[in-house]
Amino acid sequence: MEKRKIIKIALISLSVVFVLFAVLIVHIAMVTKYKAVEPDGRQLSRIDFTEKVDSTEANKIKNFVGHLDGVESTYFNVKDGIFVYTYALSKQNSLGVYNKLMSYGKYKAHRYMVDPSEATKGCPAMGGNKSFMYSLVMYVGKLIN
Amino acid sequence: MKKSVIVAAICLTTVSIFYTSCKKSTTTTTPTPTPAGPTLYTRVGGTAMVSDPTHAGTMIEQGRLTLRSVVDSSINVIAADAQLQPYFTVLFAELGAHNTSGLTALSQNFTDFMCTATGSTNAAYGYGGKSMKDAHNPSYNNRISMKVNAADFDKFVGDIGTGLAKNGVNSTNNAQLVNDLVALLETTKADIVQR
Repeated sequence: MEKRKIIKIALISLSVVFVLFAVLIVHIAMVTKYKAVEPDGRQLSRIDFTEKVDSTEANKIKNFVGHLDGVESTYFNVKDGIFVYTYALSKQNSLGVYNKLMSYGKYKAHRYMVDPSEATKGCPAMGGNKSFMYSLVMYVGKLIN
Repeated sequence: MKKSVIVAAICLTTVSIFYTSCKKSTTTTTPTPTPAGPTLYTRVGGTAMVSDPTHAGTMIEQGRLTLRSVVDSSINVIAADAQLQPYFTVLFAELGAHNTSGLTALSQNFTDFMCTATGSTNAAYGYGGKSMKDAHNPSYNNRISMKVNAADFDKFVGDIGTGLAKNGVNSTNNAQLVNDLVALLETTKADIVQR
């Protein structure tokens, strides 16, 4: 009789612990709300100008590139001679845009390519976190969502 | 029977206490919107549903559409900013390899953050990323190589201002909105600037 009582208490305790653990997992999933990010096919490219480009010429460049099929937005940093544009990957590519721009204006400029030594530097845009808690949270989030 | 009811009651009470004690803390690093008057989210369009110009056939809240547009314009400005370049080399390396996931994530996460910070209550737009402190600490985020200094943070805020201007909002035509958005970003400065 005594043994049965102990087993019963142990089972109830285990059930409670199990329920609490399940609640914890669901809670972690709810508060972290893992969101899958699906690339939308939008690409961003940059062209660096090695010659001085004034604002009038910059507007011409923005206008020319902005009217190419698939180009969605443009921005020219006149002070640093840096031109950035976004476009649909399905309609354009950075080499094609660069070649068209060079045919248009014969500018002294080059496509910006990241030096491998620079690639170790980064931006906190999405990144993975190596901490145990972060990995656990992401794992649980992925399992439940 | 009576015992089972008592056990069930204890279990339920324990679970409730456990759950409520573990509720999300309100002291997160996501800035809280100003409680008085309409929220910033309402002021930039709010919850009115409009068609999404970049995703045919889908609807989007006007507030999110406005913020997403500002974020995307700001990304262009930041990507063309020589001073902030060191923070974007991984992103550009990925883009050079035709991997656009980082760009999409940057746009989505930043827009989610802005929606939450300005007072959106739509759960679908909630920011689920790391705290600003962890996101800008190389020890917790392997995509950032160095801690941000005050000068770079100020440049970043200035670039957001340029992004706003590209969307027709500037200090001349809506100084209050610009000031409020800048003030909102400034509330994250203590967490982001770590050197």
